Amino acid sequence: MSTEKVEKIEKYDLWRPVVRPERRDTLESLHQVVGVSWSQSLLESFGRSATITCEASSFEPFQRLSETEQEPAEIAAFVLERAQASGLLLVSRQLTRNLIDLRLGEEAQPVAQESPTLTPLESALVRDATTSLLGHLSQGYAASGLGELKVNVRGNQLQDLGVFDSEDYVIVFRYTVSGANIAGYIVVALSTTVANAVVAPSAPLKADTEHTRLRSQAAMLPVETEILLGSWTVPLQELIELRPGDTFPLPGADEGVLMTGGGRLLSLKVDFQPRLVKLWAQAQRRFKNHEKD
Amino acid sequence: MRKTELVSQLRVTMSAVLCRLRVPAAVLGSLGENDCIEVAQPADVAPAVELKVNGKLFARATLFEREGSRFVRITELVSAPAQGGYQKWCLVKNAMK
Repeated sequence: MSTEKVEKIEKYDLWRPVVRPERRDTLESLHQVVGVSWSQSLLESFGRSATITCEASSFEPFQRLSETEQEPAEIAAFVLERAQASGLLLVSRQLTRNLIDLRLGEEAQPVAQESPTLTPLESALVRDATTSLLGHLSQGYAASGLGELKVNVRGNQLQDLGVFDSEDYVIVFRYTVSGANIAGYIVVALSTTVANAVVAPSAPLKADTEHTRLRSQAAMLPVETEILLGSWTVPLQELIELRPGDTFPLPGADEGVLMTGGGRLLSLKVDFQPRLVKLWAQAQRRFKNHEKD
Repeated sequence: MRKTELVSQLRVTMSAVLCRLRVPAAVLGSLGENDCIEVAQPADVAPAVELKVNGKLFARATLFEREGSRFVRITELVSAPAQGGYQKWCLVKNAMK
């Protein structure tokens, strides 16, 4: 059997638009920052530390993108009026399903092959989640001089949207999602005219981007915490005499404290329910100076 | 007063810890009023707590309620302190904000 590698030779289209490398770099770094901001939003909305990373960018005809993305997905097409460009955001079926699970307070589950159609509630939750993703994307575009995006059509199949002709060239950014049992991907595609409108960031802005990235990574670091139900002092003699089966009351009826590093961070209301404990954050007693116990 | 009596009169700080969680810094920073952290508990079992003395694990106990007050019942005195693992949790943000 031959193990010879067959290299795929791609035809070079003469009408293929040219994008200067520095503009492509600017677009890539802009979309990487959007990925960081999406990860952070996932963390803040669901408490799940999943990472959304911009893995690759490519320059391809819309026809090829349509062939790759044939599975139904949540798609929103938009225009960037200031940049005179069109674009789309595609959220894969697996990620859509996982976002619904998380929004409903469940663990993210793998998608069954024959996945049932979405209920009206699930559709609304997906719409809400994609709107949030589009919001972060819009902020990134506005900061780079492309202007805010306006959604003009939503759908589930790329071919049905009618945003691009099949021979139109698009710049495609592919994001993968990993962590917290969440899987799936996001695709952002933009018309090539966007490359002419993007503003290359100045050096300090680049440094800001790096700083933002570091800050976001630091924000994802896990902090070890304890939920304290109460503390009190006892004479050593009483402590020595304690035996299994002894009972004693705890101070505070339904109060608790969130502790980090031996200090009090936040007071809580503790509500015991079957199979779970609900810890409600209380605003009035946030321990500003991280008091020692 | 003899020395042993003096020692037995010394007071130590005891605390009851419900659970340990690993929470990303961003979540801790963003916790606001009426945000809710839900911690999974095994079904049909009284909630367990760890009793610590001056920060060191001393005993394990179960929690129960009587006449609106919370009590603990010691189930085990711990000679070789080994803390339990981290529990699963989920954050539910306050939708009214």
